[in-house]
Amino acid sequence: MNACIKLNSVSFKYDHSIVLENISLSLHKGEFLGLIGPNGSGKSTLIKLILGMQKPMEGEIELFDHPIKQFKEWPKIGYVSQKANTFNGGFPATVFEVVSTGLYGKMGIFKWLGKYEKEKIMEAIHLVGLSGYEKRNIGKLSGGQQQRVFIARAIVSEPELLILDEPTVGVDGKSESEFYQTLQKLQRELHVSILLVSHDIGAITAHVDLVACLNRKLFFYGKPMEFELNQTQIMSELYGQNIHVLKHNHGGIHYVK
Amino acid sequence: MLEFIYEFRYAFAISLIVGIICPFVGTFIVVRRLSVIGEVLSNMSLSGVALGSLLGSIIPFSFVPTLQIYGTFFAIIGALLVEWLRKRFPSFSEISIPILLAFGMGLSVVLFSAMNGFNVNIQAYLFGNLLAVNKTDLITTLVIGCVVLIIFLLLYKEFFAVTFDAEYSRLIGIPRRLIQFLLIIIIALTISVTVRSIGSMLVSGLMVLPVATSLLISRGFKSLLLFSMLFSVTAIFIGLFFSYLFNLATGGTIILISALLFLSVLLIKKWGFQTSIANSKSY
Repeated sequence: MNACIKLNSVSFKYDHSIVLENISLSLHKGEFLGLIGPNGSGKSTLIKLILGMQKPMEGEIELFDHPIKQFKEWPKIGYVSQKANTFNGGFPATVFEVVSTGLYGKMGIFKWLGKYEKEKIMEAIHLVGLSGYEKRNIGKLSGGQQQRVFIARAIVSEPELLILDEPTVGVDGKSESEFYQTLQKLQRELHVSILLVSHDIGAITAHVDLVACLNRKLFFYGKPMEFELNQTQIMSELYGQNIHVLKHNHGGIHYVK
Repeated sequence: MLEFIYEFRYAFAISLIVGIICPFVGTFIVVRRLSVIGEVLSNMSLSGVALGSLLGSIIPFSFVPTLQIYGTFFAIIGALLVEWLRKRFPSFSEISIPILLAFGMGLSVVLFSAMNGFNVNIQAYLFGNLLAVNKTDLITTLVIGCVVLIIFLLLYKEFFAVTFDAEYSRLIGIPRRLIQFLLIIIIALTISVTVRSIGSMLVSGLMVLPVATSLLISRGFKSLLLFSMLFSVTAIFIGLFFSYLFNLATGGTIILISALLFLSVLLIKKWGFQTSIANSKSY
């Protein structure tokens, strides 16, 4: 009940190469799921399947208890793409204009931004720490700031589910820490369910409720504590090599092959 | 001066409509990196006009009141073909432009030659003659211009969202394909009405030059639209006046004024005066 995402034995292949095999997992309301895996492990493909951009070869996907084919309430989902910060930097749009597009689906056709919508946009900009940047051209911001603009766009419509595909790539350490605080605030105060794809295993395990380790198959799906207890074995299976885990004083984790 | 305005009242009215809708459409063309689509669609529109003229010379009566209708129809077909070819060749999407540019020009030339050469009307479509427009031209431009403007005002946010990020628009429930289709239709409609006043050879310039000028001083999309309209209307009115005063080709004069405005803003910006302009108006 109350599953935002439910995958049941989902498989997918490009041409003849199997990308995902028999994936089953679920994300319930208010949960924070971290999805980790090496490059080419199928993480982004899994996100595309969940967002309806690709269709699974086998298995079923349900969003908010509806089969994905019948699902129409897309404004319930906020999405920050891995490619969000590789947009056309010369596009003449202000931060305010870009964030406002996140509301357009929910507002419906033939409607203009009113006072309420403008306040929501300013709130979202404030939430990602970009107050004062509303009138700036997005192309003139740093990579980290641009990524925060796209996060503001994803959360402005107050989605019930937020999907972020490696959103902290190119973001500095301080901004990354603020970013995780923002996500936890969203989860705690607004009960937003979050699916976060990342390479940063240490950061993920420190903040999420559930961890999923993917490399074509699902190698682990459970609580961060269970993951930490067996992480050397899980990571070795995930990367296909013997891996030694090194922890440093800042709470981070390094993996040495 | 007042006599000039009264004598060319139709030209002034058409100028105002064209001056507003051209940069609207031009802005979306430029940011979608489709600046040369204007050339393609004006050629297609010209071939429609040529077909209409040919049919008019063969058939003694016609159910179509003006050649612009033929031009509009062909421009719409051209616009749909551009989008179709862009999807067929995703890695070489620009290939649609030379294919249809050549096809439109080839078709026009063949149809003109079937009429034993160019006549005065066709020349007006090639180079435009804003000072020679009549009431029928005004009504056609007014109707199409209003349709374009109303669709733009009603669907502005959808057009912007789809142009900025088509994939994300689909995800948040905006009917991306429908919006892209409507945008293409609007581009075709605008080009077909502008061909009569500016000429098929120059229409693309009027759509792109004011936008290029505005890009130099705008930070956001709305300011880009507003500045583009300002530069476009200014160029058209000044061009109209000078072409009357010195008996010059209207379309060409308008484009030269547009180019002059572009150059002026470029130089002003280079000299460092852009900050005050941008700070006062750019949002």
